[in-house]
Amino acid sequence: MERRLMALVKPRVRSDLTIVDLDGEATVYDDATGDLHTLNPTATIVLHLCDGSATINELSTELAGVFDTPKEEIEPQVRALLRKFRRAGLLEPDPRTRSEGAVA
Amino acid sequence: VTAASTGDVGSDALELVARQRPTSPCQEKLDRLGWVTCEWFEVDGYRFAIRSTSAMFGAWVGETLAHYRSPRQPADHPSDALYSVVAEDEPREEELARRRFSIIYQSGWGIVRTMDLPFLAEQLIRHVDALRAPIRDDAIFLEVGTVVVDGNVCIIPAVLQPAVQKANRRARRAGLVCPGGMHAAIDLDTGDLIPSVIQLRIPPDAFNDARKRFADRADEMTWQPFAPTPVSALLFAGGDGPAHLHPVSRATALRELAPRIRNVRVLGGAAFRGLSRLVAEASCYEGVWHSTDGMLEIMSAAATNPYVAERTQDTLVAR
Repeated sequence: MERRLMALVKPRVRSDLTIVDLDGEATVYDDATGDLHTLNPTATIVLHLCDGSATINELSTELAGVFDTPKEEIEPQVRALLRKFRRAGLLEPDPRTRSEGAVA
Repeated sequence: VTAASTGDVGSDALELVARQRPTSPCQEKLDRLGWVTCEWFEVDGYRFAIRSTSAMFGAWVGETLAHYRSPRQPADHPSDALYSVVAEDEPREEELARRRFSIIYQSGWGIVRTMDLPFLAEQLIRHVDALRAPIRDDAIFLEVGTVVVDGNVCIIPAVLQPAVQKANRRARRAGLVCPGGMHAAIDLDTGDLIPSVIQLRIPPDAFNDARKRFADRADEMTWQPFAPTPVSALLFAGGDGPAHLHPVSRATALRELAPRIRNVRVLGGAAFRGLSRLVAEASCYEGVWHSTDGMLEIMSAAATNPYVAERTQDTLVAR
């Protein structure tokens, strides 16, 4: 049941974050906590794909195409990255999730 | 401080204050200088003292910051002064030939060192004004230093500013101008370095007055951002290893600068957007050096782009 819920999650970056892109690397400032996050180019691409329109499965498919890498290889990495985003508080909480960190 | 001079405050409490006062070799040396004036002020609830070895300079400070004068309290001690200004009153004739630096110390740190006393006077007021930086929203206030080479502005870590000023003569010979001060105001919309507007209530002619009063101790005016000026380069101090200057990513530069924003709580994300405009237009470098000359050379190189000008001294390597 939980797995099925997770498959439906469409990660969305919090709209109140300040995201600055410089040479393909994002710097994210969280006004609410004062935290500053610096993302490498790959994490920056994933962050920008988190617009609430695609499931993790769909994101992985898209990234597999971009990086010309099998989706099975990409998806665990995307999930791990999204977990980090979630822990850092960069994503909107998904109403369908039952607990923090159970999403990705 | 003795119990007799402190009214109601018990001697035990005073000893505690004395123990808590941070001391450094520099602070101890400073405390032994002949301070002739020490006045207390209060800006937005923050009390601080300014002491000086010059009665004339102390008088100018007292008049300029008259609006903020605060009565001395029993526990106040001159050694607690936030700013200590070393300047000479009426230099003797033989001393005019070998002019001395006037210096502002903030606690134990020499933050401005110049032979231009009117300029030092202005810098002192700018530092006091910067105490309010965390609550201002008219610009991004960065705790950084600046050096200027051929009109190119290079932002450097604030902690390096005193070292550059100490080597003022050598810096000038190297074509490097050090404006002094440890704060820069950055335009929120353009990311340009801008002249910060002094918000303290001071007499409108305070700086002209300083130029008149200390005319015999004026020097050529040090560079200041009189108009919005784009920042050409950002230089950060690297770690160990051979002397070098190499580029760093703009994201790295932004991350390095971010903790230096003094009014981030007021500006929030707008501070980062403004700062990213500054960073996007500047060349960003990390430098390592092992001598003052090496430091000056690397600063000069960063400001003027090392990938155009070949540098050889101090085994400078452009990677």
